[in-house]
Amino acid sequence: MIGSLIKKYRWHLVGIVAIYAAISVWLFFFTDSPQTVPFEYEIH
Amino acid sequence: MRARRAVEVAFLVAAPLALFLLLGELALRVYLRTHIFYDVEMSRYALALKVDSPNPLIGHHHRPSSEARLMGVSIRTNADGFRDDEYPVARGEARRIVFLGDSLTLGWGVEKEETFEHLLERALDARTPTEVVNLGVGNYNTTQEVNLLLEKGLKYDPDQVVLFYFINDAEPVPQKSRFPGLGHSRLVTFYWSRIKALRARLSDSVGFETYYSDLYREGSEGWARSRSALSQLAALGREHGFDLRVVLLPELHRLADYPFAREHALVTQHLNGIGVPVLDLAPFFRNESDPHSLWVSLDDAHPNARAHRLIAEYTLDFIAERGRS
Repeated sequence: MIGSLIKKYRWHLVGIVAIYAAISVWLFFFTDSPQTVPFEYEIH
Repeated sequence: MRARRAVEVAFLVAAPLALFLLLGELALRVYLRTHIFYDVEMSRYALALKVDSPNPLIGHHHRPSSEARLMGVSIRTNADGFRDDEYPVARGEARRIVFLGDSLTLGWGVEKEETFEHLLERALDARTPTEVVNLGVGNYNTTQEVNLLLEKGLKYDPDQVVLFYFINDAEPVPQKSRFPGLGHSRLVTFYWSRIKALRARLSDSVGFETYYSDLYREGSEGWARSRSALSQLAALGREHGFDLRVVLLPELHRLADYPFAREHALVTQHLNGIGVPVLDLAPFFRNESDPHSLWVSLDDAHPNARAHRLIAEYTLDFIAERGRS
């Protein structure tokens, strides 16, 4: 079942992952500037 | 037919997301072998060195006798969980000073030998034998600092306690993350951090200046707790006979036209009112034309080795003035 879905929608998969990757790269460069937010920490 | 369509839709939603999370996580981990992200390092700090404290007024403390490489430098904790040498509780002849503070006092992003704590200890020791015990822990506010002194610092019977105050010391005691497991994912940490930065970029209301100033608004609970903790510390000084001093560390974004002069004045005014000597370092940094040259990295405004040297230089005489009262 999963195999057939992957085969049927493989280009959809590639396309959507590519969009996610493009958003990540945009976010990386667009926010890659001097720190503008307060110090914040994950406690655990 | 309808059921099959539902399965296909679910697949088209879940499968790309799962694949992206997997590939993104792998790619980011490879990238981070040669690059450092401040927020990822802070997340690693929490996972590697912070543990819950049973005392809710402390919240978290360092895992004792542990080591992690964070922000490109080694942070090693002693048996008490301090980033310091092991000191015997029993005193010798040397003058003993306890430093209280947060990540700036801890020396986040700089080697131990480059921290103002280490430089001051060496400089003070050259004048008169001196031991400095560093109780700095990342993300601490004044309440946590004073309670850590009560729990782990007073046994060292200090002649002097110096609290290094930073503008965010009036924050409430930080709460544990609701999703602690997510900190293990570099990709999730990256998105959390960058979306926060994006919001700050698009709106002034979530930037650091507004955020820090708001901590000192009329009626602010965090600032009230901070004032109360400072008063408690002054009372402890009288009770235990140690000399108490406070150093206000500058926020390193805008130094020529310092945006937190009003907030520093409020802290100074309170300390003057309870008879605690205070040194505000912000004016000493006024002529620094390039604040970024004092940062650990472009995405991390903690003081770097040069800034630590300057802090040590400007603070030395203030700390050396007096011993046990």
